[in-house]
Amino acid sequence: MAERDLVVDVRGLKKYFRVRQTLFSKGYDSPWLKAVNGVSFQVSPGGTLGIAGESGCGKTTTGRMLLKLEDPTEGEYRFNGRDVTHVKRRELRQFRRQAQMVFQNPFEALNPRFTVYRSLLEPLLIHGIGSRPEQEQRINAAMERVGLKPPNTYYEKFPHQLSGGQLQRIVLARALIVDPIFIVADEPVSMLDVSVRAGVLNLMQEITASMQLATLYISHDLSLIQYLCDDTAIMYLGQIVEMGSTDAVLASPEHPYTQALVAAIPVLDPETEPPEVKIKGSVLSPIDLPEGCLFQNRCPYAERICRSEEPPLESKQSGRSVRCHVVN
Amino acid sequence: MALLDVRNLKVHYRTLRGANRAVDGVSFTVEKGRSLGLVGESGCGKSTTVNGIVRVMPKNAFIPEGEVLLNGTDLVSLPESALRSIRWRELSLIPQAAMDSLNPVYLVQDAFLEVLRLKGGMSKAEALDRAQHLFQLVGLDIRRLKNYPHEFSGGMKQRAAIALALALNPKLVIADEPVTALDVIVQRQVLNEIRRLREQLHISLIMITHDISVVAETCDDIAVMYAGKIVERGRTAAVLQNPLHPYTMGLKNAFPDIRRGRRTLISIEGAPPSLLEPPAGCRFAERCPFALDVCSDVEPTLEEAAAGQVAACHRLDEVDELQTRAQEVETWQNVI
Amino acid sequence: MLSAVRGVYAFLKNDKFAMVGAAIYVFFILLAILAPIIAPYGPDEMIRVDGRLAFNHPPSSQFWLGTTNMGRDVFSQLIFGVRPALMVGFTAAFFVVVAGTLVGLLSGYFGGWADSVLMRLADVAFGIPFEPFVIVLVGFLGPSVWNIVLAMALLLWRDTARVIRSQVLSVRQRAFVEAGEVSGASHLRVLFVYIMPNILPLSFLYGSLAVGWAILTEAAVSFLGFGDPNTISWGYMLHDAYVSQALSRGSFNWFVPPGIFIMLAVMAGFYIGRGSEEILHPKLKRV
Repeated sequence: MAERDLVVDVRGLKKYFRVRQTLFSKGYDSPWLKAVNGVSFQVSPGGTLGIAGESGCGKTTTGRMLLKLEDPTEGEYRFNGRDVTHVKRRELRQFRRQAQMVFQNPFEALNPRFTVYRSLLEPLLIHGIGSRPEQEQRINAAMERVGLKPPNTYYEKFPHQLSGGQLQRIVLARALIVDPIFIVADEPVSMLDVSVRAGVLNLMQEITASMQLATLYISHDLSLIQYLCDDTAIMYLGQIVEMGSTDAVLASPEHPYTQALVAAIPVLDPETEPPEVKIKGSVLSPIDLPEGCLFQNRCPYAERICRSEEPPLESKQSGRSVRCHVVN
Repeated sequence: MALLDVRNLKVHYRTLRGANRAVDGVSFTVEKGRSLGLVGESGCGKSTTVNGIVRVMPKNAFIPEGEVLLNGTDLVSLPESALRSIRWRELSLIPQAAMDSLNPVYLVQDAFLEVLRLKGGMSKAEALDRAQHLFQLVGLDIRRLKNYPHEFSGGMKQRAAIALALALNPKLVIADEPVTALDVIVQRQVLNEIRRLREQLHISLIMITHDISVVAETCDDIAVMYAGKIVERGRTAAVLQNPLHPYTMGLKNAFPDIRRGRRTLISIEGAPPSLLEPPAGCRFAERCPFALDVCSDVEPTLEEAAAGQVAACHRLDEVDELQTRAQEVETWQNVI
Repeated sequence: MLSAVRGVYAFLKNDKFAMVGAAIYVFFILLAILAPIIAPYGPDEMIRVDGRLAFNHPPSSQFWLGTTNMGRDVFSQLIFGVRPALMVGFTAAFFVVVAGTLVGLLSGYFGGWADSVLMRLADVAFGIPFEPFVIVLVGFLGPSVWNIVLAMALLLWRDTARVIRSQVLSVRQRAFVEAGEVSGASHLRVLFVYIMPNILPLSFLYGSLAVGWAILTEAAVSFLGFGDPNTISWGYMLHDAYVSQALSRGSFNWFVPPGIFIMLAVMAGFYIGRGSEEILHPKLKRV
């Protein structure tokens, strides 16, 4: 696909935060926390990319940078052919229509003092879209699209009167109402009960496919990524360690960390012995990172080179990229 | 005799709008050395059930009915003072996010010393010794005893919570969502630890979780709760392979299993009923694709339909057909 | 705005103490409006009975609470005293709440240097002892009720600002505020449409506390003799009773009633305010 057709194109995106360690340390000599440490990927219209990894791996910060809620420390972010890396807040009007978000906690994502109607009207008011009747039409259409029928029975409801599944549908409707081309969904169902999760997932899948949206799913849950995403990137300590088509990455993980992640997923069948998780120890502090591979302290296959030289994310012919000296 | 025998336990909450019947007649047993997984969705009463068992409840909760027999002693009618000597020694509870509720200005070791000295009557030296032994038992560095709770990672916190629960050699440990907040690799490590300890120490375990795959990995038996009642109970393997209750079938449909590859997940439409005024018949009837008229009028009782496996459903005799139909997406659409 | 009022009403309905506090305010407001009808005499009217000044009368059917040494009716003074009390209370509270809320909102939302400047200003305000400041200011600008109000407005915004700021910091973190940003809402819109409605109930509660504070302060300043000589307030009554040695004469009918009214007014403010904990932390709410 030609580059100009990409919705999201990030290269070498980094986000460092200053950490204030003690009360008296001055801002400029406090250490950096490397939350995101150089990630690159592309999402095309209709494409779904999943970013998976454990808490603290930088997946959420990456999502926030893509929505321009956070400015990158370094790197380049092209959105729909335009460089938006350093664009100011008030020049983002068009971007704010085109990039939308589905939040993790539907109980928090809607203003508790807004009715459902008011919540859905809000983006239309902000962007000055439509006359009154047109606005109502849009709201109706968005609500029907997310399966809340008939819409007017929900108009006057407040968030606390609705269930988690219904709220998440409204959050989705709010994202869709401005006709976006890109959606970031950060753990879209982790706060929902299992029995209603599937409904929301199926809905998102159907909508992003039919509207040809570029979608970025962020989740710690590989089974969810498997269910929704064409491509998967596994993040560890701010870096992508493996990326490729979801089916390939999950069926035959190559990076030792991905292997451990996949093996650690609980097995639903009690008769089957769960596979062994080979890695040990815990994640390094993102404040004080060593030379070489960031996974070296937990890797069962680590060699001398892993402690001295940082492995590059190497792309192979199969379309898979892996950041590992041993595998490559 | 079973180690724990819960009979028709009810735990209700007084609210401004009447009694909330959060747990409404729950019965199960836990044999010595076995583990039971109590699963269900938020608000189904699983946590309230164990709070009722150990009688650590909010002020507005009360037990209108039921027995909790631990080694033949009824905990419900026991005075608070007698109950206090049973907690920690006979049974201990690992609350959700147990370590986060420790006082942040005390060392982790202080929590251990308090339990061991106050409840166990040990001297300080004995207690320190025991605390170190417990830390080794769960695979934690004993130097970590001198840390503050916030210096522990999520996995270490859960290990420490388990060690604390084991302080006075209880026969029964109840764990409320012990791995929920953990990352998947740490979750696996903690689950392995729990399994190893159970085999090593021959303790019984009740584990509360919303995640059936966690039960599948750690528990011999499973009890599925819905809206304050147990709807199905049996061996974990049997229940997951051959679910008898439509709700269990639905849960299984909705649960993604990465090892079985991509298949369409099916949700159960709707939400559980209000427990302020629960429906007269089956509490799942409203969301059940197989509900008949009788289901909304008559409450089904738990009946044995397979060896050691009970379920509360009026259509148990058609279970084969229901299982087949439950796997079709259309079955679950437009139920409500 | 409307929903905030609704929130306050719902809160009053659930908290019996707050209900009592609100009832006391309503009672005072009615007294203030109906004062000329209820009070049998003017507040500074020197009453003559049979041509003689009726001074130091004990309570009777004619003078319910007796008279002062200048022959003024204590009951009428008490009733008319509600007016300056409420005027001072509500105007001071209004300025305190508006200033405190604005400072808290701006400081909490924008952070950075705006936050630093505003919060250092609050520190300065905290450093100034309150009552001496009022007395000095009134000494400079002349004794008037409005100068007392001004003095309070200059200092008392600090408490409200601090509390509102910390509340803004926590509301700002909530996902629905971020959702507003994702939708493209401007700073002002996020501040006033998303954040402010969620902190207004707290402002109202601090306002009710400020009413009590202001009444108490006016009384204290007047009692010390720095009050407005042309306004008969409860503090003025106490001052008057004190300098004419009503205490040593045991004229309880003169100085006890204004004391009780001051106490009621302050108490009402605190009864309403004590529920603020529950609004801040809804999880503490009794079930």
